Amino acid sequence: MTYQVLARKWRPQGFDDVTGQAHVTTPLRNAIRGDRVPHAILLTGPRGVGKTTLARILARCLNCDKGPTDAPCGECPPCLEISGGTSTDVQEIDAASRTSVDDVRELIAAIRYAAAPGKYRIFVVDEVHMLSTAAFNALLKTLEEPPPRSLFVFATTNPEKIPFTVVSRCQRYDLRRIAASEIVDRLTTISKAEKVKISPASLLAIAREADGSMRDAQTLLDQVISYGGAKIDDGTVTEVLDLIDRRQLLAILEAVVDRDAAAALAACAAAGASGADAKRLGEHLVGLLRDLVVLRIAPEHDELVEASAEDVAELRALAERSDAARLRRMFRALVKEQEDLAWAPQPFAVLEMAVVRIATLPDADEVGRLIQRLEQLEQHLARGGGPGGPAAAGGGPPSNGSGDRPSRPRSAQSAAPEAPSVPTAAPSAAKHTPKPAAPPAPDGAAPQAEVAPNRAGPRAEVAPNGAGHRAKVAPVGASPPPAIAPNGAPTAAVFDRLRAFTREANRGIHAALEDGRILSHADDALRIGVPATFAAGRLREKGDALADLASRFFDEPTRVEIVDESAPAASTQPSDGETDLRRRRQAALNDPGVSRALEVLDGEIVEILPFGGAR
Amino acid sequence: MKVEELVAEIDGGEVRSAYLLVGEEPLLRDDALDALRRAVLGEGASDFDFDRLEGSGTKPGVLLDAVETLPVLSPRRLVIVSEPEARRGARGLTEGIPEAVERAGAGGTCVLAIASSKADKRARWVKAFGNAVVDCAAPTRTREIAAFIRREAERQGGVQLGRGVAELLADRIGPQLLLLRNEIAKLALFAGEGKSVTREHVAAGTASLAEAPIWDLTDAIGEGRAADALGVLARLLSAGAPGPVVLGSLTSHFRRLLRIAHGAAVAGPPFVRKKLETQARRYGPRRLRSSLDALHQTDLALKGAGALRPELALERLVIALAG
Repeated sequence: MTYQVLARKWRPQGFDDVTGQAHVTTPLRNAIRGDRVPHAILLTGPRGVGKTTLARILARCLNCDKGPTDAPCGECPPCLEISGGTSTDVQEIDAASRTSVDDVRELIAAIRYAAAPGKYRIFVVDEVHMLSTAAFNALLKTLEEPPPRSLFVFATTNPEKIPFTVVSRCQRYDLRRIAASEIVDRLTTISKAEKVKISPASLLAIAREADGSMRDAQTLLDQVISYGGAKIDDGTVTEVLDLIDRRQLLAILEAVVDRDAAAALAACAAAGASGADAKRLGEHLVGLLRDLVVLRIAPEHDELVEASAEDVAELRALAERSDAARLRRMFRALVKEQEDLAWAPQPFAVLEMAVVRIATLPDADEVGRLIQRLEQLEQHLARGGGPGGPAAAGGGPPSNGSGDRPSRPRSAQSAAPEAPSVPTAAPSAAKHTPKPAAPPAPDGAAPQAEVAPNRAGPRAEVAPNGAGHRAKVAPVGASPPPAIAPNGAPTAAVFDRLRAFTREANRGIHAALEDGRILSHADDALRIGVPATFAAGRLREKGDALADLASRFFDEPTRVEIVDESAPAASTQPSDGETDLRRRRQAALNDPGVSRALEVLDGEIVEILPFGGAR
Repeated sequence: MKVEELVAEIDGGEVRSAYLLVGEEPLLRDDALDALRRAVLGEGASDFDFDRLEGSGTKPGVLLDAVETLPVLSPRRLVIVSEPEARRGARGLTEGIPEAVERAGAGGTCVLAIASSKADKRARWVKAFGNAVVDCAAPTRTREIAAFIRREAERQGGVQLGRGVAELLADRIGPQLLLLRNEIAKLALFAGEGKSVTREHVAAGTASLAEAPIWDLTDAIGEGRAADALGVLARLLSAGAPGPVVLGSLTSHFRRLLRIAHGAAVAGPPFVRKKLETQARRYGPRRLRSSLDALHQTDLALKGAGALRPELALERLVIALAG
């Protein structure tokens, strides 16, 4: 006897057998009972949810010897012929392989003949969206004025590809993904009938992997039975189907939403131990985080999440445990890490760190408090406040990411240290002891042509603490002013952006620019210094590409000159002031407080200025 | 006049000698022509007394002949002409329409119905119909669509609609009257004979098919309605709108906002400018500039950079811009 796959063997034979589509079966049953069957029906929905099956059931209902009835007998010749695909009254056409207008003309010619021996002449057109435009046009007239006792049933996964003139002449039914619980019920029935022992957990895993498609679920069950025989354990299911258990994914997500990095790592490890690939795991996590964001922002738009109702409810409950802003930041952070997974030598480690990172992201309130503290710092500094103010709480000067800075008093008078006024709203500020003023850096030592004039003003500086690399905000009397690019932004920030800009376009240039800096940028000439001969050589080799990128970056034609700063040329050696500036910049980047501020604000370090002293 | 007024007039026994049907809505046009056909030709076989002409291939002389031909089985003939402006110029069909209208009126043996997508009221051939112009344009406001739904439910044998059903249906399907007619029939079947259609029936049985113009998306984003923006984006993408086109529209919109934020002039009618100014104020120049970066990142993602699928990248953008 020829083996028949489960999906065919267990294909529903009546409306009662159809799972999870009551919103379609109910009106169709009522239409048959009330003799109000439309002349054209469009069944749409994802694959494997029952479109073609419903078309065949409908055909049996209409042509059954006992019909038209909503419960066909399944035993009469018409029912058997329709089930076997041999009925002359029911014609099934695969529009994916018969797309031409001639195929449709054949069909139109056939529709003129009355049904015999059945009652209705039924045309089931599968994948109807594949028909050509001419074929649709040929069909249109027949759809507008169909012969009596004829029925067109169109099935498609892409209704948007069908001309409106055709869609508007059909009664449209949208079939949905089937809930996992309903798939499990059906699979349980099938496995019992097939005398296969399989746990409910395995059936649920199969149902979830099927993503709402009953046919996919039955095919997966078939695969598992083929491998494991009549007795299937959970490990076999995971192994055979290479599943990433949704429970494990949700465990990771629950942990990160609850800020439990340890639990998140444990859940990651569990997923890894079960053989999940890091990249796939990351993709699934990105997808689920996206669902959480969408459900948090648009809770009433279930249709935006492609999942069964129970899964949506589960995700919604999880989404409600965090705020939308934090979820968005988590999503953004994970996407960023996901991009690196492809090149990572140890992808699982990258994924673990990504999970830890998103688990430790602060929520919106915390960000709000941070911003408030930064604003207080600004106000404090604007009043000429010294150390011990809100800035000492660990924040740095605010960066808006666009180079804009709030205006601050810059007069020499205002630079005079004043008694710090500690705002009561920043209690943690008291924990930090202000560092004594750093030694003043040499004035005017920076070699850049576009050095700004010395400006005294209250500024914050993030300086390293020698012991623990914990930055302190310390007042300095005078430090080298950062160079100012022609557009008004500091060259260090401009260089960072330029380097970031090259990242997408040319990773070679991006890498070679590491530790480089802008020496000058005047008119259309840009001089870039790099501290290694090798990097300078690479950049010179790629001179044209770099010039092109720089032109695009500055939005004007730009010539680029590369200076090898490792060469013993006195003129290109960074001054003490520059060295100090670079040291402070590096310290700022290493500082956890600054890192946290950059992360939560999605900001960048634009400028590091001396605190409480001359600029 | 509206189509329902035409039907009422015909039901009252008055059939004029010439009608001009203006508008592209196929259901309204079909309903008007069906009513005329029933009134003029009756329900029986009528091919002898019926002419259907296409404007693109018909000369004025052919139209005049059709109008002057005497009826065979019916008391009057019906001549339907579609899109008379399809062929313009000296020998275009519109040249002969005023004379045809005049002859149809004088003879009393023909009813002339001309169906046109649009008609310039100042044109001579349009003026010839006087007030026998039937509006077949699709309703655009939800209130008008809901009114159509109630009329249609009544027409389909008195389908009972629960509270808010018409409005919900109008929201889901939009001004596509043929689809609405089919949906009402389907929902009546879903509810069962003699039972009222409820909002739950609509929610379960009717997909959201209303076409979403791109400016619905830009408006939703500009006004900070993130949930609506996500819904509109999903509809646009499921309707086949290419991702780069959506991104292009958003970029253009934000460029205009940025221009306005910096005091530059933006072309467009006053109400559009006012709307843009309101949106630009909501963002502020700094956030508008950072939005350009988000647009750029999405552009890269759509072109294959990064790990996000295009639709996810667009969703991320919409959330970022509308948030």
